[in-house]
Amino acid sequence: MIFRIAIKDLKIVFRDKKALAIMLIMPAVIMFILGSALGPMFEGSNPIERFTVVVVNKDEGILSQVLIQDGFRKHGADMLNTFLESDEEKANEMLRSKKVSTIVIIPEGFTRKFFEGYDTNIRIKTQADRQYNASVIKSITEAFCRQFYLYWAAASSGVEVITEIINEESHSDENTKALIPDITTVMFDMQQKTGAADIEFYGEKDVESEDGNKKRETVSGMQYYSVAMLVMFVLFGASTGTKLMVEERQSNTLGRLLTTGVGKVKIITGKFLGLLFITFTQAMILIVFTRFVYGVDWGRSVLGVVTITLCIAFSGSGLGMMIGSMAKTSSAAEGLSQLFIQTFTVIGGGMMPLYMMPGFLRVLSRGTLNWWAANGYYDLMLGSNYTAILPCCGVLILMGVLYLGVGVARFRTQAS
Amino acid sequence: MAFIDIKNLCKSFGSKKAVDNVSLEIEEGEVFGLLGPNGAGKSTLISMLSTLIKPDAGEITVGVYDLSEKPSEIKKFFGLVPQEIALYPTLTAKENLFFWGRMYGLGGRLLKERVEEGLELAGLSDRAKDRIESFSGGMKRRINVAAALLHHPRAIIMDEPTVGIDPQSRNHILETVQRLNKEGMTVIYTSHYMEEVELLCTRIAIMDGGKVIAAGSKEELQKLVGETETINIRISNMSGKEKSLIEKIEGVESVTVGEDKITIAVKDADSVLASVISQFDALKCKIHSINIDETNLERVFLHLTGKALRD
Repeated sequence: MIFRIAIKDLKIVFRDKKALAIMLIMPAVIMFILGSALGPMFEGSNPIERFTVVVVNKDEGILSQVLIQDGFRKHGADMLNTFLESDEEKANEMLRSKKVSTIVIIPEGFTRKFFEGYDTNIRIKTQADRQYNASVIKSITEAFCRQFYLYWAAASSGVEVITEIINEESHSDENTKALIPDITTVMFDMQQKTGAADIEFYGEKDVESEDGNKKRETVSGMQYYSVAMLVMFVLFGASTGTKLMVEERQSNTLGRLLTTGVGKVKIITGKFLGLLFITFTQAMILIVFTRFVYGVDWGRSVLGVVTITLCIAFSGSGLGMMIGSMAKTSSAAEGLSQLFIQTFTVIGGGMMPLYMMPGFLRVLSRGTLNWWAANGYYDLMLGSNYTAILPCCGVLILMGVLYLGVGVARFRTQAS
Repeated sequence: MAFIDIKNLCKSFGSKKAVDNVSLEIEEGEVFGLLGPNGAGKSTLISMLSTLIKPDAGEITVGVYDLSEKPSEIKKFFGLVPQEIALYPTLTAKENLFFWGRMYGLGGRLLKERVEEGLELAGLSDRAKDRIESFSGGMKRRINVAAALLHHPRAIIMDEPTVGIDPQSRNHILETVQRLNKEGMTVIYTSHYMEEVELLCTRIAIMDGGKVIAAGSKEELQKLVGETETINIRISNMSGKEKSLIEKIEGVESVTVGEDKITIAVKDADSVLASVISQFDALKCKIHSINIDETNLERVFLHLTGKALRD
């Protein structure tokens, strides 16, 4: 009975051309437009909040001290809270227990290696869900090293020039000019040497997350908006089912169902399952479409993508049930759905990246389905595996249960 | 003991009493009519009988089951034809019947047979694969009836099954009701079309304002009116004074004024007709038609409530 009700709803929605256009064609088009038009916003962007970093300094030289004080604590003050820890094991433990999201290990001989032009091998470890932190540390460290190298090179050249002047005693302006190095040459030299002394991340050039997977640093614009629009339109898919539910009440097919002997629990479960089928099918079609037509990389974990999609379909369907139980007419259901979906999408970072929003909105965003679903997808896109998305899945399921609970309670009251 | 026994049933929505202390007995195998204007309480009574809403007070017994204790058993007895077209417009006629059959617990070959039977009963076997949204109002109503019969219920409850349909479909539904009743099915039929109720029903309850104001066979109800006749006059250019002036004519029992119609209950139509016409003439009203009805349920309702059934 339950499956029959669910399949019937699926059949009805997928025969509705208008609903299909809203659920499949519109998101595909919007994903393309937003992904292409706003993609450059994601190039070199820094979409993160202020975070705590623990530095384990094994170096005894001056450069690491200057890096911590001047680089992290002074220039990085807007983004970092920097603490020192002498014991690497303790720092690792803090990371494992999620007391901090990022640790930086400055190796022994860092200062010496830097001046001798060898690789400095700074290691950065970060939580799987805080992939941006590592890129912030990397940027600060690189910028600091470049600047430091410039001063050092200039100072060395200055000493050489003065020494030459003193030793030769007789000189002309032309000689002096020849001896003073061109600033452009110094800059070029600095770039080269900084490159040679490049900061090596633990686990080669990728940032190593605690789950041991290599991760890319950011998602592309197309990936970002494919996820944002997927989540938004999955909620629209659920709202199509919601409208159908209200229409059933208006046309009295729901009343007729109640007279057939099918219990209220079976009807509610069937309706919910129907919504779940609709939204899950819609989401999977969109994922496959964007993967093969737009080339969107959804990550390597198919199981992860399926799981997070099931979770957003579940919570979206729960939301749909709640709205369906609140609305008395199909137009009211449509209005309420629009209100919920658009608010959730804007607050949840579906329209513009969260780092561009004010702080209070970033906090509010965590109350939306969109934020949790999107973060799950982004983690997968950045290389995380199945286990990394489980917290997001848990929150989505919890939200879905909450919405569904409200919906079922209201539906049962109305049916009585 | 009656097949369906309703005792002192009450249901209110807010301060409005939709069903007010209604008691009825319906025998197995009869066509029982519920007649009354819109808002009389017929649909609320039917909703309680079909377990859709709970009564505030009173008892309903069907067979040996008390509705408050065994609603699921009682559901098996009934097939409900709601006033609305309770079908899925984007599914085909066949898909709709298959769905409702499954909801009634049918499956396999039996379900297939019943669906074919339903399509035949609706006279729409040739349109089985067409979507309901492509059907006329009458065709939808016929499938609406067929869907309620798939599980072969002992009684069918039909709530205004002929509202807004073409004469052909209306006749088809009325013939279906007669056929089902001949086969032994109990039918509870609500309508505000008194001709349908007169044609089909063996017993009738007239409802108004949530109450049953009279119940019995057609003959028993007619006796309540006595030997009166009705003069129906279609008229225009009315001034508003017609009712009071006509009521003063000797032999006139009651007058009901509609938009372009006046209904006059009289003891002997022949003796008052001339006076009525001359009165309208004096008021400069234009008479379009006059017809005289024998005693019918419309007159019974008019007699009992002082208003026309379709007011």
